[in-house]
Amino acid sequence: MAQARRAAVWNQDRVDQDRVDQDRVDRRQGETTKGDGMEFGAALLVFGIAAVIILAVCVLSASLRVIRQPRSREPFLSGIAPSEHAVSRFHVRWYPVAVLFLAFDMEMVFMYPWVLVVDRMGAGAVVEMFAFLAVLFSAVVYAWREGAFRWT
Amino acid sequence: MDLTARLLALGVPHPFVITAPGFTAVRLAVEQQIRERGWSEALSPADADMLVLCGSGGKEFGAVAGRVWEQLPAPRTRTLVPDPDAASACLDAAVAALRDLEGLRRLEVDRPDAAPMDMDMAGSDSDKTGMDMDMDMELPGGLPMADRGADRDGLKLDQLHLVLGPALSDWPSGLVVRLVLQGDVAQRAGISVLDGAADGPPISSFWADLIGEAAQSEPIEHVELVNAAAAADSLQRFLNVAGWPSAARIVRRLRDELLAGAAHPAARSRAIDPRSRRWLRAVGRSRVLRWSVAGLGQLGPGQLDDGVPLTLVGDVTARVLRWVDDIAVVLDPVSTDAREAVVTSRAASARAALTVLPHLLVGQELAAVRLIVASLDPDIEALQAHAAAPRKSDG
Amino acid sequence: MDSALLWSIIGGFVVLGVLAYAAAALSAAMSARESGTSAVAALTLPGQETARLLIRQRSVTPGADTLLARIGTGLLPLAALMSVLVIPLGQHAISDLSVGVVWFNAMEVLAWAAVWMVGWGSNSSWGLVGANRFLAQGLAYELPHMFALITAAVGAGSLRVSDIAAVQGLPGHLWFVVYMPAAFLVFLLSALGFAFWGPFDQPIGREIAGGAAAELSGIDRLLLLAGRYLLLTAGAAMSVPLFLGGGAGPLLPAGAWILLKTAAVLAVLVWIGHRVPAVRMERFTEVSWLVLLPLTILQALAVSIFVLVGWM
Repeated sequence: MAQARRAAVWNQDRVDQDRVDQDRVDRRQGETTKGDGMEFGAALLVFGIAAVIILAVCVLSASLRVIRQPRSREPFLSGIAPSEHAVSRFHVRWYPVAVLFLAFDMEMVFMYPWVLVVDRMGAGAVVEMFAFLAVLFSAVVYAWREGAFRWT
Repeated sequence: MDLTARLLALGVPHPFVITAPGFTAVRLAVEQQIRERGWSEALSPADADMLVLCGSGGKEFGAVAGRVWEQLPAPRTRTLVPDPDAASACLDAAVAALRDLEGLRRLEVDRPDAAPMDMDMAGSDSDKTGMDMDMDMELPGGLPMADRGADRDGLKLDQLHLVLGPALSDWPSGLVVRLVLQGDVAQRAGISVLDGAADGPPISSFWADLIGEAAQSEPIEHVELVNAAAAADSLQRFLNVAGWPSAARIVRRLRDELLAGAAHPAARSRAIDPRSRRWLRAVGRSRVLRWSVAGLGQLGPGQLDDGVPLTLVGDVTARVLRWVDDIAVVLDPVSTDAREAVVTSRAASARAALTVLPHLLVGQELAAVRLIVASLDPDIEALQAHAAAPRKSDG
Repeated sequence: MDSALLWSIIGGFVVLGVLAYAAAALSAAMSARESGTSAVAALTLPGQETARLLIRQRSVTPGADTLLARIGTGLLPLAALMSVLVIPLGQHAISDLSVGVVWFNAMEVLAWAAVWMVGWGSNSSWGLVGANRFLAQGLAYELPHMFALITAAVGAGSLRVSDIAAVQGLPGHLWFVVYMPAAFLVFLLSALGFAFWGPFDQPIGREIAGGAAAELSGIDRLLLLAGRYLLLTAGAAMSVPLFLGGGAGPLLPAGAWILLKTAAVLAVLVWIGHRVPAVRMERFTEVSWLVLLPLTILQALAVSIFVLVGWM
């Protein structure tokens, strides 16, 4: 079933019919890495051009600014003089949430590859993944009962 | 052709508005001008190119205004609006100054960079409690790093001293709240009020006077109109603080229309945009708004020795809905249930609010602190006018 | 160098930029209407604001980590532009990565770093509070967001964005929004979250004097605001291949449909920002973890079962 569905995707890919070539089919079967190398080459180019655009805007602004030098001034504090530097060890009261988040985030690393094999592996993959998620979520419920999601 | 000058002419000013106590009328005129010109207010001096001072206050106010002025990057201009009628002309002049590239550059010649921050503190910062005086001059700006203090969780953590007001948008003019924060939760709150001008006429309270006049001379509808305008002023401020600037813009416009209606009763019915009704109903019914502010700043009737004024009883939601009702009485006289008119003097409310504030703010997150203050919206002007002339009726 | 690739990159950037400007103009027009001034005149406001910020002096505070803050302001538009790599804005994406969904996710997460760096780096109490608010917000929206992305990927059995779009165009298949409405709504919500657009705009909130942006002036503010609109646009554009059938639609070519759908989603996002009051993370975190998270997990489960049974 799954193979048939995939074949259907390739054959009826109206959006980019022209790009359905043998190389791509090979890549989908996970056999070549050459194509991916090319893809990430494009990523590097995108990064380069985006960075150039942003820097160009900065340079443009530097050449047009009313006063080129940055203004060094005290931070705004409703018109009152600040009594200390603001950078400090900020007490984040949501840090239990952050810890919980990390646990789930690690799980996501497994879930992305899982997506690709779920219809090949069948029900077993689904059961395992969601049983794992249920275990994780029970931790969320526990954390909620401990009051981790409210901090004032 | 100078491209800079051309771009300069394109920009729409972002004014930063500071109001001296006793100059609400000027603030209303300035806000109306800003709205009608399609400008948007700057939230901090860094974004502002125009400093608009509504009236001139005492020495403290002058120090605040001077400090904020030094925090504006170029191009910048400032204007002092002495009375409501001058608002338009003052803003026109400020715009002209903002278009004059040579003048703007001249202004910046010899402008000193940030002075060591402890130099002129004596003038404006009399309350130094909780401040670490052990300054390490090695640090940039001559400021110390944050010091630690005991936390409610039994930890010893960095404390930040944050000051809300007097120069802050959507903030009651003249009110200053000094917070000691750990994380963004307030550990301590100190309330003070900006001095009025030592010389010059005594402070008059715009809303209290208006309500008082309406009560004496006109039919009862007129009082309701003025009351509604005052409620709309408080409500727009609250909506901005609650992160609903769209609704705040509508209510601000509604406030201007109500005030115009109060000045010219004949033109009253056609002055009000019908969309305001829909919006006001949406504000009153918004579940997201209620859910996000419910339970904050709860005040019981017996919480003060001499009683909490009825207009302040309840939580943030209750107080806000009271304003919505005050406005609805005028917009939808038929559909609104007949209510017991609650007449509380603005000065008495303000005094009660200032008394309960420190207690209400401690332990609250910064956003909640702003919401609670905005829901009480103490009228400092009325308080000071009342103190100056105790016998004068203030509505 | 492949000049076709170069042109597709520039084309993608231009389309994203135009849509982002349109979003800013729409927001300005709505604001003008609310204030009772001319909505048409407000359409040029974003351009005028760009001109104003371009020539404004920069501003630094003593002791600030200016380099950090400036990397942060630049990173925001950079992340948005780089997400365009996999988003089809027209006929094709620039490069249809086999892990396109993961790429988009990674770029959008850069906003966490960017906003925090700006807020911390400006050495201002408002900035500090705003920056940490954004992290709390990220913790609230990110997991439901990732499950929404994964649900769409499960539906197509692929992490390639074009595959996800193509499956929805197959005969007998409906758009994914029909199979996974909860994932779609959560995705829109998280797009508002990572672009810190209202009701999730508290990190640069009005009541903390602009929060992370409080000390920004001139070009720094311009980059931050532009990055914000670009991110919002990228989020709207990504929802089209994931949930709205990509280029599928009658009469018009696929590229036109993608643009139309993107513009429509973007308009809805802007509209929500004007019609809903701010949501505070202190309250929303609970909802997000106890309602949205299980909702998206169940949605993913349902879609996995659909796939196994052969319904999609």
